[in-house]
Amino acid sequence: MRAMQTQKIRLWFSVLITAITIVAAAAPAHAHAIAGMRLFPATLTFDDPGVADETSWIFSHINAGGSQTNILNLAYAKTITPRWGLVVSTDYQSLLPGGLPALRGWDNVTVAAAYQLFKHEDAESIGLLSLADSIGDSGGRAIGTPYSTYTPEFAFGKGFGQVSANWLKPVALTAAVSESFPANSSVSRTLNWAFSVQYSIPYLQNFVRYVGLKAPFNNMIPIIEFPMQTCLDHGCHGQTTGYLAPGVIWIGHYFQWGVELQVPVNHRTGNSVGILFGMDFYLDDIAPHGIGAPLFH
Amino acid sequence: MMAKIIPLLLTAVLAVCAAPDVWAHAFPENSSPHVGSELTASPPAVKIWFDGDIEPVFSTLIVKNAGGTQVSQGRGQVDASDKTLLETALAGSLPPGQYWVYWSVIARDGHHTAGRFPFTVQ
Repeated sequence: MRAMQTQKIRLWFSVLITAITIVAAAAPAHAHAIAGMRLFPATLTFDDPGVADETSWIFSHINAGGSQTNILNLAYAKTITPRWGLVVSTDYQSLLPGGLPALRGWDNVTVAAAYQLFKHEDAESIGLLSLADSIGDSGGRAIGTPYSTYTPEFAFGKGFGQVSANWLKPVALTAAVSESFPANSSVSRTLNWAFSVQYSIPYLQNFVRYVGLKAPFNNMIPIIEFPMQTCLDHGCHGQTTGYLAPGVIWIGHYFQWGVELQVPVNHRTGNSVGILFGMDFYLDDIAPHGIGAPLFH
Repeated sequence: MMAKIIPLLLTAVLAVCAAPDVWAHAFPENSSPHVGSELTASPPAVKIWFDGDIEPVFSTLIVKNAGGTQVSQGRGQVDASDKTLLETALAGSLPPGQYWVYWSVIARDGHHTAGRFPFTVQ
């Protein structure tokens, strides 16, 4: 009798320990830009609306005004708490102006603090505030600038899962608005505004209607991004440049990749089409109990 | 410089892709009945296959009718021999109508995902 009671207590104890372990382990799940059933992929041309543990590598190539530009952007995002994160980024640029010497080197290092402002699961909405500092003189002489630039930003995402029309449910919008304040009065301030329209095939097949798409198409998100910049003062006041970037993002367990075209929206931006290729590694999935977990819960 | 960076990046990509012993958010890979399907007869059970192993203790699957009444038995269970399969038996043959499947799972690494999808019995 006593042996049976001891066995029962051991059983309950092991269930309790298992439960505590699982609940504790579940904490890192706050990372990743997921709101309810909606996963917002990391966009290639502007910030996604989630605080996350991830590292992204984005390569872009474009010809504009007779010069060729290649940029490799590297970023590392780390959650400090489930709502607070830091992002460190920089890029290596190679500018080949037609007939002039090439410019190559590292851009300034940018450090940003990000806060997950809201995340509503049923509404599939998510919002983020961040403040970035592109640190003056932290890059190479050829590309970096000697002054810092401060950029407050609001980014958000909204899924259409609650609308009644089934064909609209896989659609989501993300957007980011920020203003760049250079610590040099002779340099123009810039309003950066960007948005994306996405159609999630995983969402369609998992939550709306299975249409029989198999790998790799079942994990694809066709997307169109609009990264835009408007000059706010000095001689370029009101002038807008930007791209229309249609493409596709493939999302997997541990990483995503995406490829997009860069089509100039006006002659001021350029007159030829460029290309973007990006990879984003979900560190919260790759190392959920290591570098992928917030430092503090 | 770029010539040095690109091989490093590719190596890192391959290393990450090859990592076998890690687990991530679990998302559905297939289901029976299919999401949004229209059936001519009541299904014997509802099953969802995920793209990774899920924890049996906190993973649930419930089927409700259009009025919100549960029509499945219990909270569902993870198959003993296939840890990617979450299934539930139905309380009886389903009459014509629309039904909603609600699932909530915790992957092996503790990440939680949840969702719902409809199917119809004609």
